[in-house]
Amino acid sequence: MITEFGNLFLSVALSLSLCSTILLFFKDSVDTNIRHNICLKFTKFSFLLIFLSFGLLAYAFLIDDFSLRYVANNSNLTLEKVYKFSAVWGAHEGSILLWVLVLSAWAALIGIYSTSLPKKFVTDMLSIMALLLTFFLLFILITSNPFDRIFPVPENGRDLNPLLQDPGLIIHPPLLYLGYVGTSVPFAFAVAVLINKSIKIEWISWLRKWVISSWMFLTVGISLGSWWAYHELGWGGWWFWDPVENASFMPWLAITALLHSLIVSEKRGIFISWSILLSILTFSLSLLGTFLVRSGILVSVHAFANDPERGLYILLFLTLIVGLSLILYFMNSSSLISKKSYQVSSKEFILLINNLFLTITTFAILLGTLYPLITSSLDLGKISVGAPYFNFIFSALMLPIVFLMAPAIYSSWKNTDYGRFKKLLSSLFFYSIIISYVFMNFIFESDIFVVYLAIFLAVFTILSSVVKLIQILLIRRDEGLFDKIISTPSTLFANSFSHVGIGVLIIGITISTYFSEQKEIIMKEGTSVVIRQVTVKFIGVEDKIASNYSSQVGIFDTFEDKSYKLSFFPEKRTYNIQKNVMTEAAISSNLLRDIYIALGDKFSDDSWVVRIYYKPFIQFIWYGALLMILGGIFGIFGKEKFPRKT
Amino acid sequence: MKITQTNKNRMIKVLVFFFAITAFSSLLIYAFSKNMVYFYTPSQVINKEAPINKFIRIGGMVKIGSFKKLNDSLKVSFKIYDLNKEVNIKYEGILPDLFAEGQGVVMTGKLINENTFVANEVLAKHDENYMPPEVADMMKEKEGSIYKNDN
Repeated sequence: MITEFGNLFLSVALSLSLCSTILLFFKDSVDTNIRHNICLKFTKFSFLLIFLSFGLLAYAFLIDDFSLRYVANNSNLTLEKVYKFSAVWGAHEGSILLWVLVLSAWAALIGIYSTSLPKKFVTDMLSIMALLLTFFLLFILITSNPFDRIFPVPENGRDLNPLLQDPGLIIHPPLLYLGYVGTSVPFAFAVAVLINKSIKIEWISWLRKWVISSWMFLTVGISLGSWWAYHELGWGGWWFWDPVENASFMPWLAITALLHSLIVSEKRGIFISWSILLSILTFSLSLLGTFLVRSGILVSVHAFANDPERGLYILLFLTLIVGLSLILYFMNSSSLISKKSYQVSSKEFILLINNLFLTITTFAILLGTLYPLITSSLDLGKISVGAPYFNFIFSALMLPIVFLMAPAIYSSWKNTDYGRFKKLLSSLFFYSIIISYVFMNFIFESDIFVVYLAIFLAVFTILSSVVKLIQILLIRRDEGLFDKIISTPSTLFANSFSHVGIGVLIIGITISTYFSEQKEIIMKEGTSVVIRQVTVKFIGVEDKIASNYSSQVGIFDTFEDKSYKLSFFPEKRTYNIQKNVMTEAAISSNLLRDIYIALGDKFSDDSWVVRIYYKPFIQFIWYGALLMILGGIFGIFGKEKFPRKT
Repeated sequence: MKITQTNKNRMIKVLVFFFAITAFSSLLIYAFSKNMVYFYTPSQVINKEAPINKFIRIGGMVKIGSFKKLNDSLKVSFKIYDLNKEVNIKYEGILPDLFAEGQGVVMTGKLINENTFVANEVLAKHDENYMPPEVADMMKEKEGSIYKNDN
């Protein structure tokens, strides 16, 4: 029954989406109210149907219905309940269903929260979202149906990939998808604008909230992914420039650029045409990411199947969508170009440079990601572009972007009052140099120029954001602090929090990269090793049996100044079904450092290979991400949240 | 006065763009040429198609019975093969969890002579059916053997 209903729901949703899409071609002959009514109802109903089919699949996992091939391949009787649920999106078919579910949720949401926009425009956007839905539903039904049966029905399933059996991975995909697929909103907006050849400033304010939401979810998703890699992969790294990571990072960079260019468009009525183009590009990068990750041309945890048909379908769709929308852009965008000019001394010019560099960075990462694929598909040799390329080019391009954050904060629209600007910035610059120098020279005793530069940039950004916030809060002396905070525009908090977040992130990355210590050694039971004033004593290894894996648990005690601090229990797990071995590192984190112990192979009777890391400030990476996410939340739930006509 | 201001404005804009693009292109070319790593198979290594003492990647299946630990250290050696050609591998460090004889691996490192490769990094894949795609491609081509990842 699950198969029949699942297929039925998806097919009906497909037909509804197809109808909404077709209505776009009758936009002039059908009355707008009727069209709006139909599209909105269909959108909501499609969402409901997709939600139900998703629920059915989850139900099939929970009751261990192995008559579904997808369930049989990705679950097992002994799998923990919570992982049975997250296994729904643990492999290709289910994750595409999640993609579609999120897409239809965004469509329904923009249908509901768009009363401030003209109905005609909203309807066009809904039709475009329906077009995307149509394609992806077709994709599911033709190539990736999670409701396909398997015969004979196996007694037990093949189990979920053990790498995915981790708490971080339960929520990483849904959140990442919310951001990833959220880029369809600016895309639909852009195409609707291009079809209608008109745009109003109020619409841009509306769009900005959606772009911030998508940006925020993308930030959450990416940081969770990196947090997971740090905890689960057992190598102590948190970012590898893996093509799959790049696939989510490129849309993030593009949408960050879009976020900034939309601010200019909203405040000054310029860069509109650029914002529209950037919206299209951002969504194209999301689609490209989906293609790279799901087609199986890349080898990674995320590439579930090497099925050329699937890759081909997404590639075709990608070409079609990008091609058509770009053609539309070049035909219709001239009406959007503003005659207004801007001064080099204005905030808009700094934001323009920000956009320039963000776009260039995106392009550089795109090149490094795609180049090996292109050469290998053209038989020009198998090439890989290593992490050093990305590290080098990314840091180099981030330099100007981060350096310009402080000037951007203190500059004004149209024309900046140079005297005041110079006075403030030069004192901030001066203090930042002193603070970062003292910090790095006396505490870390560093002699690396790049470290000083990075820490200076971080401090400069943090200091200027915080000072700006305090300035604004101090302006009105008569009010209480609480009233001041309430009456301050939330965009200011959004701005300060996210930029401080970037600064904190840079501090975390720089210090943890340059001042980490690591030891890969063979340890005999009962012996100790010292890493950064911490004595690590290896007590022994015990066996442990869990429901779907057995493991060997190492016991390590740490001592500081000869007094006992805490124990670590890193594990080496063997999963029963797939016979995979997984390293579970034991990590102790506090604000200033992480101690990370991973158990390697058994070396001889009483000695083991052990990997120990001491990583200062590494948690700052995730604190920084958290601050950026908070900034995003301020941006979304600011005062002008989803403005409505009254 | 008005005109010169506008011109100055325009000139700065053009200069900024010009500078950004030039700086970027040179960075890109520099970084790219320094960090491109080519992939070779054991057959190509034995046929002397791979450069010696240069960073390359190499991949194949670990030969059963070839894995050796050198006493009291993290040094290991093993052989990898594709069709019937074999290359000796030396490595010092911790091997990935799923490294095992008979499994596919991809490594980065340098050839020190015509058939010995010193690896800096060893990658194995988390799937018992896994074979590095490059190796799978080649085996398919030459033997007509079917490698399938039936997921």
